Amino acid sequence: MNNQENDIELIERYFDNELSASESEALRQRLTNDPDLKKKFDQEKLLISAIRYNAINNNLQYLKEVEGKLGRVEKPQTSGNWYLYAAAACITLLIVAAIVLWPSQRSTDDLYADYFEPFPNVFQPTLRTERVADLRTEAFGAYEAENYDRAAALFTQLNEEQSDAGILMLLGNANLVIGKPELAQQNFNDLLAKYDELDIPAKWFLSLCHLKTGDTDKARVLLKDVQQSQSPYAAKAKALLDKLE
Amino acid sequence: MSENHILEKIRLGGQSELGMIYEQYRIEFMQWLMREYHCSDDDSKDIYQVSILIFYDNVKSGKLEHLVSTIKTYLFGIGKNVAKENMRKARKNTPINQEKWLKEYLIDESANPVEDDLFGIAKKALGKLGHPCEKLIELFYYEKKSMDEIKTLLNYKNAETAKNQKCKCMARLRKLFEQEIGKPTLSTTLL
Repeated sequence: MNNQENDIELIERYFDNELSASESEALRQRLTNDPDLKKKFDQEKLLISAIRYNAINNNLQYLKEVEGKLGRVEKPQTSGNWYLYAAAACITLLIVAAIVLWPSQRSTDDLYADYFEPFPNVFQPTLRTERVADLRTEAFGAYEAENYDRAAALFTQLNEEQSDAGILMLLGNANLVIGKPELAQQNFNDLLAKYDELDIPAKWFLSLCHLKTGDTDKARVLLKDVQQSQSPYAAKAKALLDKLE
Repeated sequence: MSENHILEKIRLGGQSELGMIYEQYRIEFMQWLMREYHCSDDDSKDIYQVSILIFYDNVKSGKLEHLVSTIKTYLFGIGKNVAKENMRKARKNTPINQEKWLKEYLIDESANPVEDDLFGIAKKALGKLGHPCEKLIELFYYEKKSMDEIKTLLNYKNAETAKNQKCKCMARLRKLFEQEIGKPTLSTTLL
């Protein structure tokens, strides 16, 4: 085997992850001062990129075929911005709560209990279909009546039918009240992933979920985010962070 | 079936698993895009397809091995980034350029951006490779199948034979690429 063939084999083994750490390092060193080797290396990389691109494109065409066989997706009706009112009410409540909190060294569970206040129901849901409207009314009613078990079940169902930021916020809160912080965590993560609204409150409640489960590191990371925000939650987050320290 | 089992199924599977996951979240995802980002029907489809392919690639490449939340959360997280980035880059009412997106997201160009001309030549060479080489190298470099899995899928005698065949296919592809590069372009022919 001549040197050129050796080099190609070496490059191929590099891209196939067959080289040891020291062999990879030696190759990288050679690439910096051997233009011929670098040219072969770039060519191999280009060919692998083309292989991947070709396969991705085939899959894209496949998805288009799948899409062609499925029915049209109906445009959803727009919902009202009721959750903005909910956020405003929550912030007010939190400010009031801040006045009565005391700054002493407490366990994470105690801190959670001190700081957690369920999101109030100040909703005026927009009606969509009769069935969904009934479900909404019932879910919000159960939440307002502090029947959080039932509210969590109804909001879960509602979330599957017509998710929005407010539903996820209340579902997460209901799950927190009934002692299911892992589910609540999932609800707030969903909210953060899917919606732009309520990011800061979602992070606040998510940090409380972590406090409840004893994961103070994750709680701290989120609280630092909240603390740096330009929101009324910032002061609360700072106070809680201080207590955690 | 747990979410991590679904990931494993996707990792081991192929297009039918891709189709399965596409159908599962399609309506909810597209309605969410229409509602939250005011996307048209067509844009929602395009963004969803790009998001699904990014998700699929992350599973196949091992970037996503274990979920900390759910597939839905992960997928919507990708969708949120694609939609926002598209809004930032493109002017309003400009349809998403899926091919450009997939190239940017899924082909590693960070260290050395791929020139369009050379990329076109590489694609042309690949088009001339034929079966089973094209399928074999796709299974290896995109689907990230092991030689043992490839042996079963393409009926080779053993993993070693599959590996030898893969090396021969790459050698043939390099040769086709060099032949394509050596061909005179239209402009040089006219001179």
